Amino acid sequence: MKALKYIALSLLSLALLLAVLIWSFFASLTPRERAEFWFVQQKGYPQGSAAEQWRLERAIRADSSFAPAFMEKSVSHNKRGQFAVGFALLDHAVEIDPVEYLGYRGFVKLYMLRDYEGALRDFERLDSLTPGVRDAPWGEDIYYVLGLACKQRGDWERALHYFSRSIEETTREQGEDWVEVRNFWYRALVRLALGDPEGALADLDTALRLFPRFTEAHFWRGKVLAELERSEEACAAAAGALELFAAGQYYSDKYYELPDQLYRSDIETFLQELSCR
Amino acid sequence: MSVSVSVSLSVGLVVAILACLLVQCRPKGGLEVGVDKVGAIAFDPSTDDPAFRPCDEERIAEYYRVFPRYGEGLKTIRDQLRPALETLPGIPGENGYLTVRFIVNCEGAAGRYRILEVDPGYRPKSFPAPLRDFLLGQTRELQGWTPGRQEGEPSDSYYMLTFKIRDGRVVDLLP
Repeated sequence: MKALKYIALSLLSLALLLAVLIWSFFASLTPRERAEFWFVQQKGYPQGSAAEQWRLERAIRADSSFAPAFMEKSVSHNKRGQFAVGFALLDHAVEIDPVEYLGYRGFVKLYMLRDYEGALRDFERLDSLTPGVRDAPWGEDIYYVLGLACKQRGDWERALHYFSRSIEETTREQGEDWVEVRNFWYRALVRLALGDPEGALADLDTALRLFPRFTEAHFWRGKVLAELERSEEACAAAAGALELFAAGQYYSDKYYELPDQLYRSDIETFLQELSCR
Repeated sequence: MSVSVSVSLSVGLVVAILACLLVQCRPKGGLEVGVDKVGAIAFDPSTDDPAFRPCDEERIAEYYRVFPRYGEGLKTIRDQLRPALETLPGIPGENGYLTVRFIVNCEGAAGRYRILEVDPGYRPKSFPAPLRDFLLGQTRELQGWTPGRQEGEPSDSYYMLTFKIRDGRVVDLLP
């Protein structure tokens, strides 16, 4: 009986000690450390789950200047169409740390919302805040995405300038193999819009030299050749594009339709128009 | 305090503390599941067709995990809706994004539509009711989906269609 009493008291003491230690640990943390604690905790839960969102909210309450929590909390809202909530959070992250989060916000505006003016503002502001640094918003060269935003607005001259800058600077610093090959494709489309099919063809040929299985470049090469009335070559290019597409070789994204997304029916319709043998 | 009460209190407290520290509940399957996640759509008897049911209310995945498809994708949707969308008369000053979020079940049927609206600055707004109703009606016409797949089996999924609106006309479909 006495032994049981001692065991009970020991357990109670241990429990109280644990409680005091845990309380002391949290009490000793700074607001930023508390926020970081909850931020690490949320990584163990699926994005957008109640558990993840709760932990991110705890991080924000612990430290309202902790930008990563605002950004991370915004992601699932924007991915699921809740743009009012998502952007309220993301805008706050940008306000706290613009260099870190302007690129991501620009990416969301460019690709998910096709808000080209908004994306341009974000990318240009980011570029201005980091003189002498070539930013890479969400992993893409800043001049490439600036070119894309301009192209999608129909601002052809500026698009040409930015795509060319992306190509030239990457080539100079790392070599042509490191250039984002879609620079050449999109620059070709810009040249086409500016009435320069020969220039477009040169760009598409470069793209295919660097990436022979570039389906979109084959397709658009066919389009340009058709415009130049080189029908047999156009047919060959389009047929090549269809073969590659059927093999699953084409650009796509699981979250959004890409600019100038290529569909199988685009190629089939083009082949019919050409009346290829 | 009796010994048994002390022991019970102590053990309960220790277990509770250890549970808080150590137990990490992991949802099944690694996908975002559950009825209380961001964007979950529960059945609303005042607006939803009771004939439409998800195959598994607890495992409705997001479109970008399981890839439901309508024809070829957004191109097919755009081609199908274009004639109707071109009839919109336009309302000067009505700009922004109207998103219809809904469920595509494992049989390819769609239902439980919810509307989300923002202005060009991504602040909440409400478009005029005739425009909202028209775009919702057009979205409801999209039936006969190829359902998403989860672990090789047809799966329920959330999908969203966003109409980019300028002066009351649809200028683009997203995402």
